[in-house]
Amino acid sequence: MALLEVTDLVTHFKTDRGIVQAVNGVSFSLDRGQTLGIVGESGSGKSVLSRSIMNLLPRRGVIRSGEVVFDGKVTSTMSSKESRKLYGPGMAMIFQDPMTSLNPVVKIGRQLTEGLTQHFDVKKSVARETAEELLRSVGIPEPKRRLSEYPFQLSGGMRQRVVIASALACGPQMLFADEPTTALDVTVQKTILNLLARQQRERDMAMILVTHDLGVVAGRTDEIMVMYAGMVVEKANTTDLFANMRHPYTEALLKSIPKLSDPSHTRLESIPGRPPNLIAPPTGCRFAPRCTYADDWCHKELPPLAEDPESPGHFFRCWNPVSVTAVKIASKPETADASAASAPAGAN
Amino acid sequence: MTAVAEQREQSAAAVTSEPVPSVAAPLLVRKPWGLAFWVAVGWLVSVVVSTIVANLVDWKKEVDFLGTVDVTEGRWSKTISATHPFGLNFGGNDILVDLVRGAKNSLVIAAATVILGFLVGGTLGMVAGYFRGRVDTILSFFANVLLSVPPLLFILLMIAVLSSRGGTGEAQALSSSVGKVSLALGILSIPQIFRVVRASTIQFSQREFVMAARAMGAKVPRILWGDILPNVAKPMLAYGLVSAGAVMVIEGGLSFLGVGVGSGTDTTAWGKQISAASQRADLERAPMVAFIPGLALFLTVLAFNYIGDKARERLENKQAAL
Repeated sequence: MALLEVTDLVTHFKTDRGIVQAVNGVSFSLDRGQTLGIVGESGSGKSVLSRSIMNLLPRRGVIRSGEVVFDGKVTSTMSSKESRKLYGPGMAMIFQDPMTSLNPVVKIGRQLTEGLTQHFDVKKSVARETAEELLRSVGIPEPKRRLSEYPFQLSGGMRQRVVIASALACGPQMLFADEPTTALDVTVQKTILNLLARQQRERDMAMILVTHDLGVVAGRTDEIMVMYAGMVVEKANTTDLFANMRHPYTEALLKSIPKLSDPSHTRLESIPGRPPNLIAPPTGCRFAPRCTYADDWCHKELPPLAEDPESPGHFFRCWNPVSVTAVKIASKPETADASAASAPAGAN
Repeated sequence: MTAVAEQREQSAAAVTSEPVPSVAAPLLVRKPWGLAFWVAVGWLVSVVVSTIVANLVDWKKEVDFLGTVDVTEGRWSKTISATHPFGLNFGGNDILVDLVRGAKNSLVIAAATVILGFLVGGTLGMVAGYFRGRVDTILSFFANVLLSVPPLLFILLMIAVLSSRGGTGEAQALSSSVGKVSLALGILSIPQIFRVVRASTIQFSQREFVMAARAMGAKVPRILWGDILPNVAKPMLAYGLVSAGAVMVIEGGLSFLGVGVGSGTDTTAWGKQISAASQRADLERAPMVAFIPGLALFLTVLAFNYIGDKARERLENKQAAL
């Protein structure tokens, strides 16, 4: 049985202007030791999804439905007291910005041992040794000295390592990494992602990597789920997705990554328009207003998340799927342009 | 307590006029506190130590009051002698002795008021700021009600009510004790502190480290105590020091209204000492008798404000560096 089973998860927020449909009927499952990448631009509901799975959203003003089963237990209906026990040893989360996710006035040692003393009956000295060990395992030199330092004494990359160490402190079965490298320097991003991958392998954790950057998830995840306007628009295992992307949005996301092989001053491709208003989402396909392939039908009827008959396990939500199979892997995207140019797909 | 707001405005103006340290300055190189800061600290420490010592010793035995000229009979300067360096006051007491002994009550009122305000106002402010919603609405409503009560009326009423319940006679209905004044001033300071702490808590509750703590399974008291309080407390320390200065001034003002600490010639707090010597005739005859405790009060309040300001400046720099 899968470690995490999410069925038809819906999260809406009540606001003064109306109901924001942040997450709309998302379903997926994740096994132990597997990595799922959730990709989408800002406002696509990816962060809300991970917070919703972890029960971290406020109760007030939030409409939720659907079911989350973690390790055989239904967590979506748990009280905050019950879900507290789940955090740490069960689920843990790494946040986007290490500048804000560490407490600026609390020493690193205490921030690391907080989870340990909360969940396990350990002595302070033991917790401190564990914290030191954790810092060493995430590649922080002189861990003993760092324990008595404050976050502002560390660089951004080091801080994110501390955040990772504190998330790993209780040995979670499942790790949510919510844009773990967005706030970091590009040179540091890779080392942090490698560190996460190594820790995941060593601990046999399940991991959900939330990002807006297809390049980040390429080659690091087993499965990728592309989200748009709170809905899953494409879901496939990683090699499959890059080899044969079907949804125009996925394709557009990939095209908007700058390529080193392009001549200088090449205009970066972007997706025209803005993400839809989630209070009054467009009828029909949510992506239709920004889609180059959209026709009348796309604007009328919301496509279902359907499985590709040719490759089982590859789901997409599109009436006019991109059908050319030339995009191989994100790190070699120069072929993407050629494919995209000849991409206009057949009619529905 | 509009005085607090005024003090804050003044101190804010003082801060902005100082040169802003360069952003590029290394974070760990600290600006020295400066001589004036240590003079202020030295003044406060000597006031506290001397008043503790003075209240342990029975000065009536140590100082010979007899054989000296009372101010009421002659000029104040004539009462100055080796045993009475600051001369005597209208009650025939040594001004220095009264000053040092009276500091105790002034300081205790200041401290008790601020502590009461922070214990109650601070706790409620953190609860309201963290939970928001209905709790916040209700608590904020009560804070606003308390803020809209005229402060002087409230103090007079409080002291009257407390005195009558204490069973003292009608003639002494308005006599005050340190406890009554502290309680009245403390209650008045609650809504001010509530609002400041609440605003600060709201700001920090939205930071990601609070959600990170929740994602680690921390309970609400632990988040409030361990994660939010350390962030809120440091700026509040500076606010507390400035408030302490303001409370001392207000206590002095209360003595003028006849509800200050101590009664008659038993001048037990600085405010009372000033007001006891502030009859018009007395001021004309011997202005120094009122001026000396006034100067002590002025210097102490100034020291509180200066230290609070310096502390705030230091803490703000640190916050900005994060």
